[in-house]
Amino acid sequence: MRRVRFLAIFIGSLVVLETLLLVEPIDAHMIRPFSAGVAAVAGAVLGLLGEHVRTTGTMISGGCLAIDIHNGCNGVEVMLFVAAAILAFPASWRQRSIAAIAGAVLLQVANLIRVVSLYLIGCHRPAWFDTFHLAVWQSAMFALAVGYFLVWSRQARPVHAA
Amino acid sequence: MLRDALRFAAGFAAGILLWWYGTPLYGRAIAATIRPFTHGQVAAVARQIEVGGASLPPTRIPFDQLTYNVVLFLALLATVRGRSAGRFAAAVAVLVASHIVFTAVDIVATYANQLGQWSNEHFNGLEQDFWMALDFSYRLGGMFAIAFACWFVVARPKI
Repeated sequence: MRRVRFLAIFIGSLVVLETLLLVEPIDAHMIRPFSAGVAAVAGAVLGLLGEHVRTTGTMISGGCLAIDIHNGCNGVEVMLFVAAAILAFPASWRQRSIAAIAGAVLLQVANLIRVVSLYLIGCHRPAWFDTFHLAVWQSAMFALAVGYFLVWSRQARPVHAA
Repeated sequence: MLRDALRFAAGFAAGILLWWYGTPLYGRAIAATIRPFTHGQVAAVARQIEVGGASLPPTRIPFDQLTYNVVLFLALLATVRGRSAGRFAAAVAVLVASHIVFTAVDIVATYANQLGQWSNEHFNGLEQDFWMALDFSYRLGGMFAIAFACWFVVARPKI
């Protein structure tokens, strides 16, 4: 019964959270500025690695490639996935809040590596770009999210109603 | 924990290989399943599905982008010990069924939104938004939620 409840809350929360991503004011005032922040940080890291890039809003442009950071590349969807799983797990609110924040930080660091590596792959191994962009990195991000949730949920103390 | 991580990595690698090499054959099977509902106007070509014929303008959808949740599913499955054959079969059936359903959704979303005037003539604004939202939600995170839920059914982790 607890497993069914977990799955129901997880899927329901994820549907609600993903639907919010489609709401235009949320996209305009939260998601796009956040994506621009991701682009700015990734552009700065690429600069440190010796790449000559320029960031304009959500775009990272260089001599060999231009990439646009939006939903699917900004790490928000995978953060929502972890948030929905944590929300569905019967731990205390304090445990869940800390886990959600720590998970968001971890996933954004991984996403930064994804964006930087995709730019480098696009420049230096363009034939590999689509496969890495879609299957490899997207699967790896969700694998990390699931791994993080499973490790956390094994250590969290479930709170069950009497 | 380390053993689980290694099993997970091995499953992930197997999933990538299966997805990469199995997609053309799997695409043909999925296209054959959908074909009766489209009056024979669907065919798999390499990693894409071509749609079009007497009553539909030609278009293509990237089928391989709809199925790579199999990578996460296999990675997670590799960590499960003592699998129940019945639950495993049910999970695989749900995963395959989701691929069939969301391939159909992707085809409709493509016709609803990406064929310019033809789309506007055949779908109203609400329908276009609905199909785009459904397709978007699946691609963005829904496909991984399905893979996770399928694994959850097999593994039955403690909650």
